[in-house]
Amino acid sequence: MSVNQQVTAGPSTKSSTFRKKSVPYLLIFPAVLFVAGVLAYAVISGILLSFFQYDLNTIGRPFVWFQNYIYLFTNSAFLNSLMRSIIFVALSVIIGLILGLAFAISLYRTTKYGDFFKGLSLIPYLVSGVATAVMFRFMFASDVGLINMILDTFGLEQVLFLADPNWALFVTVLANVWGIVPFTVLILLSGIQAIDSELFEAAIVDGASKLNLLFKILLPLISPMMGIALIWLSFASFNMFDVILPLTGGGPLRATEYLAVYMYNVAFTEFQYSLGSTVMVVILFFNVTLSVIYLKIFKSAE
Amino acid sequence: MKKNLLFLFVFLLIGMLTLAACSSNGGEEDASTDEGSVDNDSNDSGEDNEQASSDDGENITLTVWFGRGDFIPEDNFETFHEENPNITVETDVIPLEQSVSDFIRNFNAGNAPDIFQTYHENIPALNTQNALYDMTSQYEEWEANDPDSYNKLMPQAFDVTSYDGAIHGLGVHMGPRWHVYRNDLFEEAGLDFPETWDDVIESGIALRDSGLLEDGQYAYAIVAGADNAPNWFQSQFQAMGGEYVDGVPQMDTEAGHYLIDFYQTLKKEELIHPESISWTSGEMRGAFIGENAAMATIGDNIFPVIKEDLSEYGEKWVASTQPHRPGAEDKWRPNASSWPMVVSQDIEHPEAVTKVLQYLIDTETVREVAHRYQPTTNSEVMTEQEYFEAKPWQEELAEPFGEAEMIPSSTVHPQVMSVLLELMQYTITNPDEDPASIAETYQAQLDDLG
Repeated sequence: MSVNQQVTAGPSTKSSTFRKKSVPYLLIFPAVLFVAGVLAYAVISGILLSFFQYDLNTIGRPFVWFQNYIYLFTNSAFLNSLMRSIIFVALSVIIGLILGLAFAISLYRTTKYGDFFKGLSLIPYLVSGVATAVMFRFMFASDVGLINMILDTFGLEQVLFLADPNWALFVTVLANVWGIVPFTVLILLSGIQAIDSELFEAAIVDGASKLNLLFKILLPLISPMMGIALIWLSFASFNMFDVILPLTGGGPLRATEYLAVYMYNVAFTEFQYSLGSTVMVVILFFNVTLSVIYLKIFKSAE
Repeated sequence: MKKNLLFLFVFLLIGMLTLAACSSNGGEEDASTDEGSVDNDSNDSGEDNEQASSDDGENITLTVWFGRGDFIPEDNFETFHEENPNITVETDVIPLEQSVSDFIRNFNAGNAPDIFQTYHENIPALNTQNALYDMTSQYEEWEANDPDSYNKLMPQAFDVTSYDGAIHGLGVHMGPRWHVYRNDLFEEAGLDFPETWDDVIESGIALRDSGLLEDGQYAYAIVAGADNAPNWFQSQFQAMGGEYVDGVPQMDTEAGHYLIDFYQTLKKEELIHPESISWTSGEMRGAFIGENAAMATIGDNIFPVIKEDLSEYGEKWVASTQPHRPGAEDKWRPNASSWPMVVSQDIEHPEAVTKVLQYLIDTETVREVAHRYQPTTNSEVMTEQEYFEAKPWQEELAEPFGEAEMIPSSTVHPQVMSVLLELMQYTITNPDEDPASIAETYQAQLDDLG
């Protein structure tokens, strides 16, 4: 009896193990299907489309190899957009990381009403991009703008923030940072909270200065979270669209026509769908490359 | 680990294949059965359906996309449904800005609306995609069967959707841009109303120096922001006698140089708000309505708002045709934009579609829309005393309205607009540069669009 049972138990155990192993995949399948449908399908279609010429001025969709890429990298409007995007992302990431870290440390140290302040710090992230844009437009307007009123109070000359290409870039960086820093704070705060507080206490007993605490303990220990925060800041900035369009429309003189805005204009204003897809591929390339670089750096630091 | 990755890859692949299969099947099904939503599924060909609809009174559902909710008649097709019990019209509002992309996507999926509204400038590109139906024979029948209603329509109603010898829809509404000015300020300053664009500059300078304009008030308001198509710029170009070749504006001409110089002077003489380069159309209109600008070029549809918020017509503001370029009176022409209802190539019931278009432009239907929103190409409505009472400015402007030319367009119109926008912004930020040199640079870009 027992021998028979052992003999028959072989395949049944195998199938039971297979079933057990399959369950997580089966459960995750709807989510994978959803992501594949919404994102992967669109991305793959976009990549394929970038090798065709699909626009409203062309009959059919001829295969054009790398012609769209060659066109883009010899087009002054695109190169301007790329350069402006790099400046925009670099400024957003630097300012965003510094502010995010400062706020995360402040929130970590806020023991009384800590949860309230954590909730409060998330508000900018919850406000829609269009509302953020309208708010910044009012703040930086020349006549009734809050910033110019403050400048006026101090006897300083009015600044045409939205009419000057460089100032407009600065305003878009601020609006972007305002919206994306809260999530950075959350990421960094979770890293700081995971550090054993005894480490700080021991360092203080050993006479470590505040700067030592920051650079020798805190930053190295939260480096994986810094990597994630940087990926988030870069992604969000490279893909930034919903704030820029109502805030400056990409102007003046294409000064704030970052890649996502340029992609929208090319695809949905000029109806050059393939060219828009090509810009999408370029944005994707930058996002993936930056993510790999960040992960490499912070993994080796870890 | 490798096994898990393989597992995940297989799942992803299955998912992708399922999606691809679904999308292609869906498209085919949509193309063959959904369009027109014919209740009787036995007829496969459009012609058969058409025959059935006219002969058997078969139930038909038509989808109509309006570009703005304001264009939908007040009764929302109630009367139409009473008169045509076998035709159901389903409406949706797809913003004009999205109309082409949404239509093309639906068209490619075999699920296009029967009629949709778009900017008239998009007709050439849509025609290139063979996405529009030729309504010529339907209109010939209309003219033969009901000449009274047909002859009420201004030629622009048909011209606006005509391309390559085919008529693809109907321009039910047409919106001209007029020159508006604060007559109270002009009277106080003892100024005559400007007849030329030079006069606009001169009277602007006079107003600026008269002390009548306070801080934050300017002589003229323009839209130069990047999030607006340069429609006003083009309209002024046309009023200045600007020329077009194959729908592309010729900026390296006398009119082009003059337009550039005009914008540079507005900036140099501080006749416009210093932030105009970031202004939206709303800010330009708001400047005039809020008494912060003495002159502007504004579309007719905004006049009811000006009347409500600024003053009754004639008290503080007056509208007129746009000025002409000195020495080019003969080249001056009133101009307008239109948002025609265009017909999809995929329609199965041209007669039913024609009935919908006839309904939309029928005097009883369109009167109400024209009174509260955009003027119509139905000449009967536009010459009624009732209309002049609702829109008092129209009495003087009726003649130029009738002569209004559409802004020309081409298959590369969207790219043309991008170049013009950049040209306009460059002009304002470089007021001292030689207009001819600016025109030459941007003309080369326009020519490259080919």
